[in-house]
Amino acid sequence: MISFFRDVLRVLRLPCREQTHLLSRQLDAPLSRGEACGSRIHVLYCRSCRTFRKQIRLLRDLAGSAGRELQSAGELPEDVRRRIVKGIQANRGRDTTQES
Amino acid sequence: MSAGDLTIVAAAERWVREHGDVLWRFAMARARSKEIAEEIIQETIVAAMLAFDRFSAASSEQTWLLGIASHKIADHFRQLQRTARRGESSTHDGAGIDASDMQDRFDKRGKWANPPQKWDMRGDGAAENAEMSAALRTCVDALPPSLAETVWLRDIVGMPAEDVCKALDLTATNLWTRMHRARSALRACIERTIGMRHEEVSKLKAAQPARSVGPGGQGSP
Repeated sequence: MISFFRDVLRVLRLPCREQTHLLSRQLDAPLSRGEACGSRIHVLYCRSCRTFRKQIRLLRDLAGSAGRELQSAGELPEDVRRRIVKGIQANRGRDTTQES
Repeated sequence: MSAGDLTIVAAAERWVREHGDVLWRFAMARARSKEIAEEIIQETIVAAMLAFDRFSAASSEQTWLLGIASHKIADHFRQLQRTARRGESSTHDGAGIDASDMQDRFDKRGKWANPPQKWDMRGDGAAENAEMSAALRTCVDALPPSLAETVWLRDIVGMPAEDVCKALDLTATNLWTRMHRARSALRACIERTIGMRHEEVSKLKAAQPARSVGPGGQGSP
């Protein structure tokens, strides 16, 4: 409970620059409950950070739908597959301590 | 040839069989050229064979291979950028990331100095989204390669954050920093792109006030 309020207060004191870091981080990892709460309060009264949050979420969603389209974008062509496998066999027995 | 070599060859053949399609789609989407995509997969497989003993079961094979492919693609783009810089340097057409998109938009105290503008979403949602997706694509392509690769794996491929860290050998904090820089730059880039487009539209409208063109430009007789 104490850490919750500590996090809320800490986040509420952060300027917008750090708020945007939290808003972005939230898309990659969960914030602590206190951090999430502080961030939500900041966004309630800060229109610019609210716009920022809305836009990075939209971008993430657009990127995701681009990725889903990618899923149906075709298979490794047979000729390419054959050449790659041939390349693997040509590579065997090579000095494996050398980085390409 | 040792038994170890045989194991590696067998593993590499299996990678192509099991993950070839995923690698192909990824490389094609990023390089947009069959030749380059093929080259990237070749290089990825060779690099994976060389690093075979360093593969840790902590990440899945596919994550690991995508990570290697990602690095190869980043190398490819760095090379392209170097070549482009050696040639003409000022052929910027306003598309893609520019220096202003990477700039800090805050003042000394961390307050917004240059706050985000609301995106004017006129027209129907689907068309707006399609346009914005196209702008996003241009902007992602123009990101510095190290940021582009994280955006690709995390937001486009949709890999869990922990997997992106494993694939690119980043700490969680590194990843958050990169993603934040990338998202801020992309947001600014899209904002500028949309702004420019709206300016063009208003200029066109101002130039041709009498002609009203319906959606699709094909008015009924």
